Amino acid sequence: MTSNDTRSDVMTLEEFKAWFASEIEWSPPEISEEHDLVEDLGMDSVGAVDLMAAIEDAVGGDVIMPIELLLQITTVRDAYLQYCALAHLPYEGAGQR
Amino acid sequence: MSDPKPAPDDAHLSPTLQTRRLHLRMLTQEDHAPLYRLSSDPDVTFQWRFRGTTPSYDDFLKQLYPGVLCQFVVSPHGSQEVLGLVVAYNADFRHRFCHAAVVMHPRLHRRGLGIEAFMGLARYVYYGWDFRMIIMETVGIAFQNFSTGEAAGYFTVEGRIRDQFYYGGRYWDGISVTHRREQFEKVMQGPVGQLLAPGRRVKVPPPSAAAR
Repeated sequence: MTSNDTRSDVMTLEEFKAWFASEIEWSPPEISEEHDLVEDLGMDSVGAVDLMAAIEDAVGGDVIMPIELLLQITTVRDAYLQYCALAHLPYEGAGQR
Repeated sequence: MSDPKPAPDDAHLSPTLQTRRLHLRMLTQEDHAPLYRLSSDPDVTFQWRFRGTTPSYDDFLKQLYPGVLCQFVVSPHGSQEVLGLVVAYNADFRHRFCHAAVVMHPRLHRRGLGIEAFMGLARYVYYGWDFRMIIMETVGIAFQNFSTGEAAGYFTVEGRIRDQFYYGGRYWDGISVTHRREQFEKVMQGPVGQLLAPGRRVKVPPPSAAAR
């Protein structure tokens, strides 16, 4: 078990959905994890910038959302999974965190 | 007569071409072929300058440089992969503006990376020239990818030619937008500023390892 597995401040999916609906300006008040960000929620490039910045802030530590993770996000659930990945991946050149 | 403005911090005297996820780098001969392929991608060609035509490789190269003030290939950090191209062109030094264009690989559309690349270019242009605004000409089908940016203060729609361009069985508007220096400075206070800020990178496992 690495120190990565011990983060206790990572949101659950339900918490993430509530966070998403309240923090992301373009989000409707009610969302499902199956919602497609573009097709169902109308996310455009400007919305993607908001989402990226918000997820980075939620993870903390001035972390950068890598392009590889960004490209795996289609639905709200995907956004949650990549948020979790970002929270757990080690920093480059610094080993585990 | 001395400049009444305070001197900027020395730390900001070097223009950076690094954004949070990308770096803008000089266009080299090795980039020509990938850019030629990108220019003919069905999801790109009608929105780029060639508007669906298929110029020869030589003609493509001849059109890459005329009128250009500065242009950069867009690559991810630590790689020379060609993700797109940003270009500032047709500079008017008397009236202090230039035009700009951004083209990105289709798999990156609606991910915010085109905005990140553009803002990296805008930072460079506003750093190096005392321009008042950057003008972009776009087509309705591309504009819908970032149209909410007007309400967010990223740019201003200055003009629209209704039904100017034919694409996909219908006509689309031609749209002129300006991104003014004061808009750049204002949006830098929000999420856009984060696009240009350095940060800490994480180590992403290769896809094969992630699948195990």
